[in-house]
Amino acid sequence: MSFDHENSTVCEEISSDLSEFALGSLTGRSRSLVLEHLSSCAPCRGELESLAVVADALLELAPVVEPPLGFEQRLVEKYCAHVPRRRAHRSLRLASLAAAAVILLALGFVIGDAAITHHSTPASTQSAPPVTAQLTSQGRILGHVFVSGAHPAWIYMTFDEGKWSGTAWCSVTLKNGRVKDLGSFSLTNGYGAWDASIDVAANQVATAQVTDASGHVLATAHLSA
Amino acid sequence: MKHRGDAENLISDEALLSGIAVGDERAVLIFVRRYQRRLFGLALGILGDAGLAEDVAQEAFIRILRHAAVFDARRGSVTSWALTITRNLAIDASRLRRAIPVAPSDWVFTNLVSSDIAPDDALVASDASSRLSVALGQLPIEQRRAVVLASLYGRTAAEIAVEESIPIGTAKSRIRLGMARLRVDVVVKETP
Repeated sequence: MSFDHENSTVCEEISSDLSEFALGSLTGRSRSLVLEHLSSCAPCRGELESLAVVADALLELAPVVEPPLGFEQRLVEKYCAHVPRRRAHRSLRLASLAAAAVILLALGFVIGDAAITHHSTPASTQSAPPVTAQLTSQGRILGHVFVSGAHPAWIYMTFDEGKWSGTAWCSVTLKNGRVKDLGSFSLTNGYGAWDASIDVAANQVATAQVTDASGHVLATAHLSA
Repeated sequence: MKHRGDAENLISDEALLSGIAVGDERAVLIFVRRYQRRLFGLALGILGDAGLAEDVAQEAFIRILRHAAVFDARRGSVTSWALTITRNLAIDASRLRRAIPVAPSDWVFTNLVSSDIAPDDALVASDASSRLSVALGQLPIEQRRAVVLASLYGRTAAEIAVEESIPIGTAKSRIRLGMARLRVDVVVKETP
């Protein structure tokens, strides 16, 4: 039929631009023509869909590189500056976390007491700004600590430097001098990340400390201003 | 206390974005931890400057986090969405910095065909990308360069023609033929 013939001719002309369109490198009038044609041509939309799979996958091949030390801390600070503090939506938040917990239990994972405590605590009240600090040892930055502004607070630690491997023990010292042990975790070649809840407000935490089994201090973070 | 290697990895990207959308700070951190190497690596690969790459990766995260609520899973994966935002920001930054884009170094083209993906990063690497890594390595180098220049660096066919000292028609053909071959290897061969 004449319409089909005309359309297939256009399809041939468009096909040479379709790859560039999928890759996001087609500009100007050529891009407009492709967009116009796609609005009325299902076969070309189908071809574009498969080319888009390739285009998306190409981006995934980009090199994977560890960002500079402190990237997370700087990002959190920037994010907090951009986004106004919001009241966490309890039902959705707990639902998503509870769902994760159910999956873990179904798969036979053992979830630490701290995580369970966090998920079962009453709804968060209005959040205060989170607190971040560097984990240091003899002046050297080994990682970062993030304490959420929710009450009760939870703590998230990352180690990105150092060569130490083995079981490490974490504790926090509160402003009233009380020390709370948060449990043990593993570090591999100085690398590790984990989190736990603390049954106190974030602004009550003075320092966080990580030690080895013998009590030798591996790193300390000072969280109070 | 739970270790990152188990609990966090079981939470889907979509669930994390839902949490981020309602102000869940833990979801923000897990998401950042999951994607920071990918986004920074992509920005660094495009820009070749660690400081600028960090700025771009951070801006990409800010945009992703701020728009988490509007992510539509029907239009693609979270990984593709995050990488596309990063790629576009990196290309913008590159064009702002220099009127004439710097030619990517050869290591970029070599690294792309590596299939060595760390376990953590495998979480955000699709099956398609694994197949593509192999297929890309089998393309003629001219086609591979043209496809990568258009994909990662946002080069138009006209810009590729100038950089490679070839007619624009040749540049367009290289992109088209390369993409057609990759499409067959990555999409068509995998379709039952």
